[in-house]
Amino acid sequence: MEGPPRPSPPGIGVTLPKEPGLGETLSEALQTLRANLLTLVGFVLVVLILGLALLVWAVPVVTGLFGPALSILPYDPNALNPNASYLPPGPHHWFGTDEDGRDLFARVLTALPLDMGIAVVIVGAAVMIGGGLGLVSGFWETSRTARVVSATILRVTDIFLAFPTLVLALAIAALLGRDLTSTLIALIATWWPYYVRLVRGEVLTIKHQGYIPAARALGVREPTILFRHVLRNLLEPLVVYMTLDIGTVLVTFSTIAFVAIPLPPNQPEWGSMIANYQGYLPQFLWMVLAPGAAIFVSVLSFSLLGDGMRDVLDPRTRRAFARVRANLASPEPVPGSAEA
Amino acid sequence: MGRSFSDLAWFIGARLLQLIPVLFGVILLTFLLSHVAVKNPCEAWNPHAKRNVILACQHFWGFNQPLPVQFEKYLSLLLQGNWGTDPSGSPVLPAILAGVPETLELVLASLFLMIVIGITLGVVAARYAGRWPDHLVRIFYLSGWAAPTYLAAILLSIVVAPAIGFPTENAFTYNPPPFPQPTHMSVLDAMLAGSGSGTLDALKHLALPSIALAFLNLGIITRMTRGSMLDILPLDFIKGARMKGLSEERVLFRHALRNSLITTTTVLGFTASGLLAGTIVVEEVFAWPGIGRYSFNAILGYNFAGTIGVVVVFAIAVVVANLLADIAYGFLDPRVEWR
Repeated sequence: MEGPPRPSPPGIGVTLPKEPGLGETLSEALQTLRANLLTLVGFVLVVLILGLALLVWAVPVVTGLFGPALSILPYDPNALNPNASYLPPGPHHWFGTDEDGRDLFARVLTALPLDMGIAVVIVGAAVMIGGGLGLVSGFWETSRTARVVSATILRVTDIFLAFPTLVLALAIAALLGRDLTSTLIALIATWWPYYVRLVRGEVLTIKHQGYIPAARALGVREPTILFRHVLRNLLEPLVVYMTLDIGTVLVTFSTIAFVAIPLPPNQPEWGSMIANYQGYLPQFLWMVLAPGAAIFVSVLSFSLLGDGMRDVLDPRTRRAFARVRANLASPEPVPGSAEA
Repeated sequence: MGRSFSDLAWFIGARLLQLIPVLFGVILLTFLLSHVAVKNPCEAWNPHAKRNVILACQHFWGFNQPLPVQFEKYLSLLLQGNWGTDPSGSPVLPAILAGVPETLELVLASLFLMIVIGITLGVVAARYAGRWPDHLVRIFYLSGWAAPTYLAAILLSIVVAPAIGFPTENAFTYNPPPFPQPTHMSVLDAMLAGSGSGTLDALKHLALPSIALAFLNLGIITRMTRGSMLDILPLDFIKGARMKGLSEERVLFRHALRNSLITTTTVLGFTASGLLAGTIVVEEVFAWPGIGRYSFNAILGYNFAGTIGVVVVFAIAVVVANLLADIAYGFLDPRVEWR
């Protein structure tokens, strides 16, 4: 339904609801963020992290076009400096230095665009593959072929879901050649099945809402129904899940890098750094804590944002939340209650 | 379909039948991966061997035969109970089976921690929804999610363990322990042998790895408990219980929690996959002699039979865990019918 609200046809006392415009959607999103402080914190951190990642990656590239490449990093992440090895965090080296005097702050920052980019790429690829298959298997059931295709998709998905992602990803990456590319392929190959389940489940729910048969009855074409009515309602849960998932991919990728396939030392990456520096524990704790904190803060930010969005966007939780607050806020519960 | 035991038996039977195509798919997938992705396993096993040694090795393992023939041979042996051998020639199945009770012990211990801590935190968070205890609980369980298992594991084993005097490797200080191990679950064995010091020793060994493993999945339990408690707390029977003058703990833990546990139980099944994945890292860091460690070594050592074997065991474990969760769900909720 496009354009301004239509006047109801004579004789029928119905006004078609107006679709929310961009402004309303934005203000609703702002309200969502303001409703919960932690969600707002998560949002701000996510914006900061992504912005920083972009700066670290783009500044040398862009300035390189016009002259000597500049960088926002305080030190060269790979410059060895034997005079400054094993330095604890201080005013010159914010996160300290490692055994060869490399600045850990610079190394952690260099890894930021790499780890973030990998997480975003893998989640994006998983959404494309898994979401597409889920859409097909959930929506397309008009013919015999369609049903066979859907059943096949679901069976294959079940097989992938039947064992822990990390095991399969590790196996694929280890067999393919134990480098960054093989880890990427392995993660994409194992990450899509979740999205098949998620999208198919949502599509099945949406399909049986009254407005889909109504749109069909009005003569709206199937592709339009799919993209305008089904896909749009899918976006909300999908975005929430993707936000949370970026954190999970980050952890899984760095786990593979940590246990089995570390990147070469001149390519800083958080998991590989922890793997390389764990031998210096417990004396030089900061060497592990610097990349560890980077993973922790990144994942926590995405989780805070995703978790909060889920709470506020999910009408069931939102209503229950409001009721409990109304119930418990005043008057204080029955006498004899324990304040835990 | 109803709720009698024969219905339950049918339900379990049907679910186990569904396992067969999944297992076949898992085996086929892993087999193809291992035999297509690695061009020449013999070269991977002996990187510097001479040409004729490689050829002999290929002939010995049958790698020069067409893939379908190899797969058929593997599958027929598997059905006869022969799971194959690792590159050094020792059979895979006994090695995997030896690891099962060890891993089960670790997983059960961390499941216990997850349930006790997660449910308590979930109840507290729901009771104070939207206020600071809720926020603190949320930060706590999201940190569990955000701290990678390997980071928690190495910090616990290298930094925390020496500080509090806890051991960091294996299931016992003495290997083998001075008493028989009928179950291969360290705590249970020590208790069966009536050894108090042995039990304490085993518990100390178990504590840190199970904490590292539990921390990751704490969030799911907490979240689900909180969510379902939020659904239940505004209902009339809770108000009724409060009006009767019952204490707040009694209302929360006896009346509300019992109903919200139904939802929490279902997610316990989902955590199985994450817990098993976690055992790979935790067992590797703590040198815990379970299947997680075995699968790690099998995958990295091009031990194909071992890799397929652990993948099969993991797949069975995930399906069985979900089945158990469904059965528990049925027992907790009298409205559920087996079908």
